[in-house]
Order: sequence, then C-alpha cells, then structure tokens
Amino acid sequence: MAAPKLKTNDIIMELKPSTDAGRLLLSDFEKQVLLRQVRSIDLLYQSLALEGLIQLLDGKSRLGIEAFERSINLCPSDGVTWVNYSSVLVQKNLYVQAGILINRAIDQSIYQVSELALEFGAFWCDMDMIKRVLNMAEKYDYEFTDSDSPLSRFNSIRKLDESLVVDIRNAASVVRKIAEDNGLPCRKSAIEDDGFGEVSFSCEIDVDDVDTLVNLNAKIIDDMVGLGYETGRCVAYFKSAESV
Amino acid sequence: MPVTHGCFLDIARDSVDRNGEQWLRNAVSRAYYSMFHSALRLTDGHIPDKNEQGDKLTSGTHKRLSDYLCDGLAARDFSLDVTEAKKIGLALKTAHHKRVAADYKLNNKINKLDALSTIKAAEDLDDKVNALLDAKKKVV
Repeated sequence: MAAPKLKTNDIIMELKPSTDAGRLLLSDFEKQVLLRQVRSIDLLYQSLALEGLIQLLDGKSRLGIEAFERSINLCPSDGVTWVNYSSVLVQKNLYVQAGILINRAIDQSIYQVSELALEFGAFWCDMDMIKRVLNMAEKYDYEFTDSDSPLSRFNSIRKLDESLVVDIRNAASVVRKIAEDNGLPCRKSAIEDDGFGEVSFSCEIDVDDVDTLVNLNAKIIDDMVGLGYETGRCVAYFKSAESV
Repeated sequence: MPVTHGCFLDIARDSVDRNGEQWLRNAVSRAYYSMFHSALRLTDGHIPDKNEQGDKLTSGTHKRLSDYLCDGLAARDFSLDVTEAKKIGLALKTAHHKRVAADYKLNNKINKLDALSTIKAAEDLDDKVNALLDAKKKVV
C-alpha cells in the first residue's frame, strides 16, 4: 500500500469536521474546489476514494459509491479506503449496504475494518459477522481498542439457542432495511427478554411525532409477516430516543 | 354495563396525560390489554390449550393467543384473512413485550412518545379487528 501523499493528508484534514458530523460542511463552491484538488492527486485510487467520501458526505450516494467501488477495484488491499467507505455508509444510515460492504471486506481479510465490523455486527445482532471478524482479528493479531460493549452483546446472544439467534438476526434485518429506506439514524439497539422465552429487538431513533413512530412499527410488522418471520421468537420495534 | 376492550383504552388515554412515568407505564400496560381483548373478538374468546396433535400447550394465555393468530390457525378456524390475522398476532406479541417492560422492567425508561405510540397501535389494531369482523359478516 502506497503511503498517502501530503496533499491527500491535507484533504483528509480539511474533511475531518465533515466526517465527524457525518455530512459535508462545505459550500457548493468549496466542494467544487476540493473536488478539483482531489482529482489532481496522482494516485487514482486515492483520488477516487476521496471523491467517494466527499460525494457520500454530501448525500450523493450513487456518485459516492461509484467512486469508492472504482477505488477498491484499483487497490483492493487498501484498508483505509474500506474503513472510510464502510464508515461513511453507516454515517449516512445506509445500513444494508454497509453490512454487505463489511462482509466483502472480511472476505478479503481487510483486518482494518475489525473495529467497525465488531460494532456493526453487535448493533444488528449479526452473529455470523461477529464470529467472522473475531476470527480475522485473531488471525492478524488485531487488538480492539473498544470492544467491551459489542463483546458483551456477543456473549449474551451466544448463550441463546440457535433458532432464537436466527430469529433475532431476522428481526434486526427488517429494522435495518426500514432504517436505511427511511434514512433513519439508529442511535442504540437493545435485546430484551420477556421472561417467557421470547425476546425483542428495539432500535432507538430520533422521532418526535406519534404517527411516524406508529407507521414505522407497522411497517416492521408488515415486512416481518411478508417474510414469514411472524412465528419467530423475536419481535422488533423502533422506539423514541427522547428522554421522559 | 360490562367492561369492554375499549374501557382499557380509555384508561390508557387518561393515564398518558398524567404526570409521572408510572402513568406512562400504566398507559402502555392498559393499551396492551385493550389489544388483547380486542383481538380475542376474532376467535370469539377462544384460546387453544392444545396443539393440533392434541398435546397440551404449556405457554401462557397471552402467548397462546398471539401464536394462534401468527401461525394462521385462527384464520383457518374462524374464516379470517390469513395475512391480516397474522399481522394482528404479531402486533399483539410486540405490544406484549412493551407491556412486560412497562410493568416489570423499572430500569428501562418509558417515554411519553412510546406510550402514545402504543395507544395509537392499540387503536389501529382495534380498527383492523373491526374490519376483519365486518368482512366476515358480509361473507356470511
């Protein structure tokens, strides 16, 4: 992997407030100036990765994904690109696409995505993803910096029987799809048992009106029934992140 | 006058306007019970206590009703639209989890929006039950 040139680092620094905020904090003129600088970078895969980041931060999903995909095709081993690409998809609430991308990264042994993959897998109760990333991290001797919370969830789900684990993953996948379709930032997820052998997967979102929340939860029920998940032992719902 | 499922919903609506999380919890709990009793109208109050093979079902009343609706047997036995009956069953099952959290999990915060949304979900479920019963009457 070639070391990023100084220009690339400067651009990454300039984008830092935007990546922290999860949206492009530049005027249209500033964006165009930055894109010109990005396109003048000699290493095409770096140029495309930065263009992808800018476009996705600016909400231009198709353009951003196209640029990132070209970058990955040119340099599939660049872990930084995979991490930036996955992170920005999560930031833009494109959770289904992020999940697919993280699995592709794990397929290619991009160990740099380990931290993100562990957190993502735990959030969406995707035990397969967690197991795969833990195997990869072990293989590459990767040390997690913040793994207590995701590993705690992993360990609690691991104790459940296999069919319930599948039911949880299915219910969570319905929520994930609806969150992506509606551009909903998902703040926190929770698994709760009801004391009778069944569990719920809930996801906190920023919502301030009853009808929106009710409609989203009705959509979960419609989709779960549509997919044949209604007899499973896990239900799912969105809840408001507002305090009492 | 006998108590109906609507009485539970009235209590839920009254509770949600009162101050204090205990009232929000009460609203969620009462809204669930209005859903349970409304859904029971679909099966004329019948909740199976044995499975198709004649074995005794060990789960509680609430789970047996939602399972009966979710697995399609209630629709078969009472000539209901299968998909709608399943949706009602799953909505009931989901609300039951909220009711358990409201009544037993005191460390979980219950906020007003979640309580209001459970009440609205109960109203919507009641509308769906009414629609299914109306559709059944028309066929008969």
